[in-house]
Amino acid sequence: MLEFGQSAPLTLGIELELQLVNRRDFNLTRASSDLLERLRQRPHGFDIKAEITESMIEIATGIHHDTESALTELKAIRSLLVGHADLMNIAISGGGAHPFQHWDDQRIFQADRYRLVSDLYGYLAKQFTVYGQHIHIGCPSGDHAIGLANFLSSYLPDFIALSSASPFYQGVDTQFQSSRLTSVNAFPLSGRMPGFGSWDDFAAFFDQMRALGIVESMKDFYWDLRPKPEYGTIEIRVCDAPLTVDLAAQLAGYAQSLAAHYFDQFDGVQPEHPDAPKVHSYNRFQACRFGLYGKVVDPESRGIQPIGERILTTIESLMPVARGIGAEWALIALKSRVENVETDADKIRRVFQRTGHLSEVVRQCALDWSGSTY
Amino acid sequence: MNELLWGSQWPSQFSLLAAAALMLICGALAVRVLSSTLRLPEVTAFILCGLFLGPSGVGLVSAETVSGLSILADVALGLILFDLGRHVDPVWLLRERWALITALTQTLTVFIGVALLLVNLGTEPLLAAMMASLVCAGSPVISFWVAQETKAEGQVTNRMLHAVALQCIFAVGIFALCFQVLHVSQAADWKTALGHPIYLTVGSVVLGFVMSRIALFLSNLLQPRVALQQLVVIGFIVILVEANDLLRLSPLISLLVFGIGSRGYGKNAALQPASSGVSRQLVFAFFLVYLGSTLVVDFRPEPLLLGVGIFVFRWILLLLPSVLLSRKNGLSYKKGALLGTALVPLSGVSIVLVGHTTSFYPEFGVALDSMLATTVFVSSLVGPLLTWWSLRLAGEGRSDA
Repeated sequence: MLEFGQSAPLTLGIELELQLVNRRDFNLTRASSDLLERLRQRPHGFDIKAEITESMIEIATGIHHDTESALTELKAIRSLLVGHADLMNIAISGGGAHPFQHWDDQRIFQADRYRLVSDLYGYLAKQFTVYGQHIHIGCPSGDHAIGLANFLSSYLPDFIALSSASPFYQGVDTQFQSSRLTSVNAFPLSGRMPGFGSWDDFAAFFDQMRALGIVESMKDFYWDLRPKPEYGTIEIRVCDAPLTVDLAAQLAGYAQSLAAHYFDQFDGVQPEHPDAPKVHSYNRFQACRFGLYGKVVDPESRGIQPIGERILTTIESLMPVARGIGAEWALIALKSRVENVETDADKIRRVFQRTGHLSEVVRQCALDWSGSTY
Repeated sequence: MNELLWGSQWPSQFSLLAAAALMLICGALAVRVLSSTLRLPEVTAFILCGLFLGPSGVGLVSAETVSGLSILADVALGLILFDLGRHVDPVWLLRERWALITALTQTLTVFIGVALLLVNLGTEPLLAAMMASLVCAGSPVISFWVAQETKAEGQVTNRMLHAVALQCIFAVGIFALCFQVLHVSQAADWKTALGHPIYLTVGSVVLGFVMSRIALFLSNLLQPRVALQQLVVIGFIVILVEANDLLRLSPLISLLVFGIGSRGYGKNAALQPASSGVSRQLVFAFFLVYLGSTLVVDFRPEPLLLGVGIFVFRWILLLLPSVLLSRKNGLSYKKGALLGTALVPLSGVSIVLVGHTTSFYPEFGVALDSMLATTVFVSSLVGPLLTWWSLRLAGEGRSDA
């Protein structure tokens, strides 16, 4: 039986997948193994590792109790990476998808896990060169994790809209605010995590999938949201990698506040609404396509509401718990972002309209990520 | 019979266009045969094809035709140097000074080492120094094309492309200094002696930079029409080739600087690569086959031994600083060695510099030419293979490319 490793409630961790680009035309470049080799030469103590293709790098914070300390660590990692990237003549950028890379140019990172994924999924492995943010929230038990997953499931469109940063893909304006999730959708075990009534139900499901040979570990589930039993967390996986580390921390603050609200209200598993699975895909599409302007269906009230409007209402209701866990600053920043309808996807489009060059878009995204201005 | 069929005599040799077409078609076939069967890099296949067709081979492309095609070759070289220049980032070189120091050390090590070797072998010091200055630089064409062919990306590739561009500039500088000494030793007046090297290097840099600014300005006016911007770039490259010839400047430096200076960001992000896809393949293929056709083969034991000796010695001299400074460059010792090896192909542009010398001092130029020819020959055939393997072993060249 799969065990859930407990963790302190509401602790958080942030993982970011980042783009490695050259400084000539700002296309993706094969650089992760060189960057990791440089990092190995000088011990740094941060969690920085390879991802499936050579133009990706993943960073992760340690366990934090509040978003400000997570942001401090993210800034320290950023500083380290930017320093090395500068000496390697490459740049690092956020964003959910590189705007003009061609998937066939990407190279699988030489590690057993990625070779297996490449052998199994064929061209999908290279098409998986998309960049996300994963947010981990600590849960005291497996039942709390399943309950929180059921609860957060209906808020996933908020995270998609707030983080949307992949309007261009393979050189084309997709007209989506977030095109990244379309690449993830191609994987057989992607999309919505089924609702479960308890941790035991989930563990039984996992054992069955493993017995059938469909999965080997939790990593084989590419769901929008999944429990991470070895960490004792729930992992939100729908966010595009934001253009700045500040937004990454703000999104974590939103997730932490929602979790605090859930733990305040409920103990253990609260089942999801029976109609939630029916509206999940539609709501998710609305968020990907229209971002803050998307309209989501509430399975309980059966009402339709613009995502931006719903986020503002939610933020208002979360403020008291956010104050208690030090996430108030994050919600205030997100509120301002929604009120100004200023997502990263909008910014990317604006830069393209101004300059007419996708290379210039990536250059400015890289400047954003490094904390510079232009 | 010929007159009945064609109305005139069958031509005794190919016209320039027919020769160029022959070179391209045979080049393509050579790549198909040699790359598929012997796993040779495309560069080597093209050069071997040129060697086979040229005066040193079966002579289908005569010395006269080779001479006539030189103007096309100059433009092709201009396009290649421009694209290489766009890979060179001067701002990065100021930030990562070890890349700059390493390239300078590689150049000086080869210069001093080869000069000392030649003096020890009994060569006159000035001739030895000039010969050494000619073998300082790696080949921009071969390095760039092998990197393109293998779709290589990474630190060894990046540092190789920067090093080869810097080596070319340093080598021309050192050559100009030696040339200055030659002027003085030949009793030229001091005005000529001092003025010429400065004119050659500074003039070439200024010409390339000024042209890049004008081209950027015009390209910005043509935004976002990429194809029109490419036309502007090609036009400027042709002008530069002509201007270098007219002003007796170094096309190597001015075209590299033109490429470097045209890297623009923000409002200046307009300038595009001069060639891409099929047009790039066409330019490289023609130039490499042409390069092969210019190679002179001298199988007499003494020049052959000297050529091979200088080639191997130069390789060792390149390895020394590359390995010793590898950690400073953030590379493992293995990758440092691979960087040194990737730089082994010798710049064919040295032949141009020999021609430059010959135009001033014919006797001296001929002596240089005979020493250099075999080294360039050996380097052109073996060098691309070493670069190809180095990039593969470094994990930067694609195995499926």
